[in-house]
Amino acid sequence: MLLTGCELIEFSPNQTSSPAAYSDLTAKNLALLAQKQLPAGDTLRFVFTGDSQRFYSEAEDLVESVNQQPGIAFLVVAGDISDFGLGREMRWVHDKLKHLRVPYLTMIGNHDHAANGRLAYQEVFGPLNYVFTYAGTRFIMLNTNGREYRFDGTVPNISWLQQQLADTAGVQRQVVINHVPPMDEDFDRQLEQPYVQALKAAPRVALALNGHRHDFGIDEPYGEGLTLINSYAFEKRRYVIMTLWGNNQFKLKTVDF
Amino acid sequence: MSLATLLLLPLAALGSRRAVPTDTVPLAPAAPLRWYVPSHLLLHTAGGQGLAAVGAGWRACHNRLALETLAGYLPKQYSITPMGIFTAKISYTPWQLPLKATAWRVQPFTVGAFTSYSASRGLTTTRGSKYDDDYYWWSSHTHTHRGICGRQRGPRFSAYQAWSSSFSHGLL
Repeated sequence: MLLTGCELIEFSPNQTSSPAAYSDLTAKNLALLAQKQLPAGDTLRFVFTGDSQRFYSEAEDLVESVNQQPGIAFLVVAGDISDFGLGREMRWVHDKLKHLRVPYLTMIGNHDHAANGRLAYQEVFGPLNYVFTYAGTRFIMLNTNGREYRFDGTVPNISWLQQQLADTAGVQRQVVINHVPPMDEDFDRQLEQPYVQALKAAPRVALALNGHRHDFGIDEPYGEGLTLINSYAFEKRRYVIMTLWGNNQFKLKTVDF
Repeated sequence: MSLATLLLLPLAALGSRRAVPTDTVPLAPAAPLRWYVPSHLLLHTAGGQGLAAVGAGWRACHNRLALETLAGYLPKQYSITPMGIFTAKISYTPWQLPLKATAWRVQPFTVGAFTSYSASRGLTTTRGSKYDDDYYWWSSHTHTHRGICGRQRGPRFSAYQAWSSSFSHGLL
């Protein structure tokens, strides 16, 4: 009686089970997104941000700002939802982001792996690698936190990535979203070139989007044809509105909040 | 058997063994205890210290100040592997309400702080070979908390209802 039905009762900060209202959030957000499909060929606009960890007041202001933006389809948080890998941190962030007028989708970050955070993330959000297609754009959400797996050659999962890149049926363009960028020291070095080659060999890849570095950046470190963009962290009080059209054309707009 | 029942059983057992006349409430043991002998034992649930925890404590300042240590257990169903949670706690209890005809006190409000170490193979360490020094500045196994609770206290026994706590990470 005392021990059930009350979220104040907590056996450990590291307990991974999550109430129904705070579980499978990726699937729930994708279901919301599916309810308002945009026809393929239409211009797609979404908010790109990352690293929400412990920036709760910033999250409130970000939601207020994003809710005033017209024509936004969804928001992406490119990893590090939490700081300590605790489920309760992920639920606190959801308590802010659930007030968005659009669905939001997340990528797992290295901080979300801390302690038993990987399981907490799976309970609260869902799979670590997943894909979704919206407005003719296939978004490939790929776990690249190689250091958290001791650089054991399994993360990122290159064969899974190649399978997703090869699936181009009804897809106009592909966008790969990671937390750790491939040139970062936290990316598994032995998988850097396989990752880059996989993306460069896929003709419909428009962009690779990353977080982790807490600041905006846009570059082509692997030569022409593969553009990498890094997100602002919540703490920067800035986010980017990304507009995609055509096969690989895009426009960025920075918003302060 | 529910945990609530488990909590109540030792209370009832100790309560009946230590029953005293209705007009007598022993506030302290007849002979002073040596400093290292615990003044009371604890049975505890939740508050970040495990599904169930047992411990020992030492009281001072007319039973208002307490230093307590606990060992708690969290079953596998709440994480990847079972967890042992070891806690050291200091607390202050301003009010103690006598329970009529017993040696027990109700302590409706206690404020305090504690630090805990969670031992589990299911918790990856933030200090290890895969990280450079200070990659993560905190420990995934150590937490510090501050919070409030209510409890019942007997001459040699305390049962916590719960701690509602906020916390931060320790460095150890």
